[in-house]
Amino acid sequence: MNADFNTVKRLVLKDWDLHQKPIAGYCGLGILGLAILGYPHAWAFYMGCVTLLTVMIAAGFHAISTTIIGEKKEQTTPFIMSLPVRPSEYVLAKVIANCVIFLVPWCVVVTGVVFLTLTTPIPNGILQFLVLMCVLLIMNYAIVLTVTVVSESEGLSIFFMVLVNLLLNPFIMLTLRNPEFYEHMESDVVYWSPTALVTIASMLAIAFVVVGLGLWRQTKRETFI
Amino acid sequence: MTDVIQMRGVAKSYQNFQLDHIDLTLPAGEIMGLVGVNGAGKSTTLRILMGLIAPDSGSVNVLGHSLPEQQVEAKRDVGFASEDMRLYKHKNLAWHMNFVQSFFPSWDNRYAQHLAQKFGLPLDQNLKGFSHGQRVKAALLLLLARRPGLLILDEPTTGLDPVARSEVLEELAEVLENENRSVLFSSHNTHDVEQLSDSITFLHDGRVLASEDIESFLEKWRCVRCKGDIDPQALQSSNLAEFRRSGSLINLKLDNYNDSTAAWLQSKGLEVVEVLRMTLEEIFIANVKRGRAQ
Repeated sequence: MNADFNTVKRLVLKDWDLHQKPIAGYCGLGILGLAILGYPHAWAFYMGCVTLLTVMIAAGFHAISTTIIGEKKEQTTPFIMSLPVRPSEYVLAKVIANCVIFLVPWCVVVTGVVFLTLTTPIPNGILQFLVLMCVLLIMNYAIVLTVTVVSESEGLSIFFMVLVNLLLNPFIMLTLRNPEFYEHMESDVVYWSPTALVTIASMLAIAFVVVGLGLWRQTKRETFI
Repeated sequence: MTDVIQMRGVAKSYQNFQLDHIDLTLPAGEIMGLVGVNGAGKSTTLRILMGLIAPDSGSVNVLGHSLPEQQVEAKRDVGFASEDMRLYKHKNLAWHMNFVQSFFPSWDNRYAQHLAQKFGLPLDQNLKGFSHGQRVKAALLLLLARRPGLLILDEPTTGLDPVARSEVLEELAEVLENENRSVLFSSHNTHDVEQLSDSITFLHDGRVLASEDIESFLEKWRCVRCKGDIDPQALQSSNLAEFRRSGSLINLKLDNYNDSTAAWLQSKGLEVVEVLRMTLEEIFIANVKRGRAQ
C-alpha cells in the first residue's frame, strides 16, 4: 500500500478533532449506563445492559455516518482530495479514525463492565457473556464500516447496520441456552469456556479480515470521487 | 515555454454525458478561461486535471506529473477550488488554515492574514455562519496562501453578489500579476473570463469547440449586416455560425473574417451594410450554436 504515514496521521487527527464532542458524549452515556448497571437490582442490571448496548451501537454508527457518509454528502471530500493526499491515504485514515472513534467509548464500557463485575455483587461468572457481547459489537461495527467504506452508500450502510444488530437477539438466546454459559452465570468465579474463547477469537478474526479486505480493495483505487 | 497542463485525447463516459477526446494545453504563466454552458464538461475536465476522476482513455499531465498516478506530486503545487467544494461548517477559518498549512511547507501565513483582512473574513467564526461569498473567499484564501504555481478554479465567481464577485476578481487579478503563476479557470460568465484571461477554450457537450487567445477571437469574429435576398444554403460555409433575417436585413455571424469576406458576400449578391466587432459573449454563443448544428 502506497501511503505516507504523516498524511494519514493528519487526516486521522482531523477526524478526531471534528468528533471530540460526540466521543465525549458517548463516553458520558457509557458511564451513565455503567452506573445503572452497578445499581444492586435486577432491573438495573438489564436496563444498564440495554443502555450500554445502545450507546456502543450508536457510537459506531454515528462515527461512520458523519465521517464517511457525511463527508460525501456535505461535499467536503473534494476539499480533502484537493490537498496532496492519495486515495489510499484517505481510505486508510478513514478506517483508522473510525476505529479509534468507536473504540474509545467501547474501551470505556468494557473496562467499566469488567470492573463492575469484579467489584460489585454482580456474579463474576457472567463476565464471559458480557465480554462476548462487547466483542460481537466490534465484529458488527467492522462489517458496517467496511460496507460503508466500499460502497459509500448511506442506504447500504443503514441496511447492514439494521441487519447485523437484528442478529443480536438470536445470538443472545443461543448463547444463554448453551450450558457452558448458563451453568456459570450465577457463579462467583470468573469462568472462560472454550466456546467463549473460540467465539471471541473468531469474531475478532472476522472483524480484522473484513476490514482488511475492504482496505485492500479501496486502497487500490486511483481516484476517490 | 513549457506546458503546465497537457491533456491528450482524454475521454470519460457517464450514463448521460461523455467527455469526447479532449486536447488541452496550458503554457506556463498563461491564464486560460474554460467557458461553457452548464453540463458542457468543465467540472469533469478540471476534476480529471486534479486527479479526482480517472479518464477512461487519453493522457493527462500536470506540472510534469502523470495523473491520476502522480496526483500527490502534482497537487503539491496546485491550488484547486470548485463551486461545489465545501469546508467543514462546524470549524472556523483559523482551524482550516492550520489544517491546510500542515500539508504545505510553502504556506505564507502573513499573506493568509492579509487576505483574511482584505476579504473581511473572521478567523474565529464557524463557517456555518458564513455567507456563500465568504465561503468562496475562504476557499480562495486557503489555496492562495499556499503560493501554488498553478491555480485550477471551477466557477470561482458563481453565486456571488456583485461586490463579492468584484473583490474576488480583483484579488485574482492581483495574484495573476505574478508571471510564474498559471491559471485555468472555468466559468459561464464571459465578462469574468475576458477580465482575467489570456486565452479561452470553449467547451460544449463534452467537446472543445475552439481554443485561442482572446485577441484572436475578437479579431476573427464579426457580425455582418447585409441587404439582399439569398437562400441560406448558398452561404453554407464552416465560417458561418449564424444566419438570421431581421426585416430587410440579414445578420451573419462569421468566424475567420478577413478582407476578402466582404467581397465573397458581394459575389453572392449581398450588399454589406455594416461590419461589427463581436463581444466574447456573442462569440461564445455563436460557437455553441455552431457546435450544436455540427
